[in-house]
Amino acid sequence: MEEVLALKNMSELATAEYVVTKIIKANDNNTWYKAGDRKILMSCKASLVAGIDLSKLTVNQIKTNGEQISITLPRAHLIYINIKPEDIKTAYQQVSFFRDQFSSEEKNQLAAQAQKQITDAIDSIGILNSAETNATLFINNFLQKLGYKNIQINFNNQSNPLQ
Amino acid sequence: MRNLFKKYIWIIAGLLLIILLFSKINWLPSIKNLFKSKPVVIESTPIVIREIKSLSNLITIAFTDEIVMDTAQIGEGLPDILPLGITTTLVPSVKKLVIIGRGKIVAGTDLSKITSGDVMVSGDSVHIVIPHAGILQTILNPSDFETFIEEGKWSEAAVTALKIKIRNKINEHAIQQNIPEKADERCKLILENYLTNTGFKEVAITFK
Repeated sequence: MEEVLALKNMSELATAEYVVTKIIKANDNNTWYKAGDRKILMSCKASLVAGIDLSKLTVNQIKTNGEQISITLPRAHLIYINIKPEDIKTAYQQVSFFRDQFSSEEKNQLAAQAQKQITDAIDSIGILNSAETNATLFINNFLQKLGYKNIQINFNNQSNPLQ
Repeated sequence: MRNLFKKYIWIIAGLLLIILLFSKINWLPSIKNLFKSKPVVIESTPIVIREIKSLSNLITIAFTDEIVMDTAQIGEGLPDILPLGITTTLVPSVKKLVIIGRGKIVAGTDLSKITSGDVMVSGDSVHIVIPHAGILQTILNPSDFETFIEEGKWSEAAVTALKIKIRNKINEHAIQQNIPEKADERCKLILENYLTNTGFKEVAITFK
């Protein structure tokens, strides 16, 4: 057994989690010399977590004046996607007589393609907006607990819809 | 006769030289590519949102680890030299599966557990009592796995079980490396910096 270890410091405030599902559909009939085809239908469940990278928050982006505070936060981004092995299931497969079953590696490759498709669709599913809204609410509540009365939270290059 | 033979040798040598030259500058179709399997590409299907959760997790440490895990079983019949449908129990075989998993653990603190009673402000001093950090997620996506050896037919349940063993091992390593304790220290440091930046002169962070 060989191991590689690595440790990385982070300052991510995770504020939104979306659980999504996707059907993985593939048809292996494009190789000309292989007789017959193979079809597979799988399903997967992914957890997407988005939030704010607080390491990008500089002193200049926090302005205080008595009970007033103004913070400009960095835009939300996807922190991670997690597709657990037990959340990938083969629902149906059809394999011609002369072909081999889909191997576990091939199924894994198909699931990896689904992972990429989900990650690429991050802008369209609305998680980044939710993450920014939740971050605003959380920081607002936290600053209220600290005694601030007039709180203004903005995001880089755009004002927050909640304010 | 000898001259004719010499002539043919020159023609063949010339042709071989031309073929070699053309293949060097990629003008000839590759035989290797001709018999290369086309990759199986998945169709574009909709992504369905099942659940939306609000979080307040401060992620402070990411720990990555690589584990090689194997399993073996006595198989049924001949090794995989025959196509599907032709099964036999003539010769028992040993099935072997070796998977490499490169996973990531994210550790941090659930800040939603901080209540109003945990925050004490007095002038420009603040004292906050925070919960201890923990492992928030162990991330092992399909792209993080590599099948090194796959001999014989393996059920989906067996493959998943091996992958879960890899995940559990990574969790064990994270605990051995004191990742939650390190996440506690980082969380304390981040909150101290943040509170100092928001104008507090004295900042005290303690744990529940």
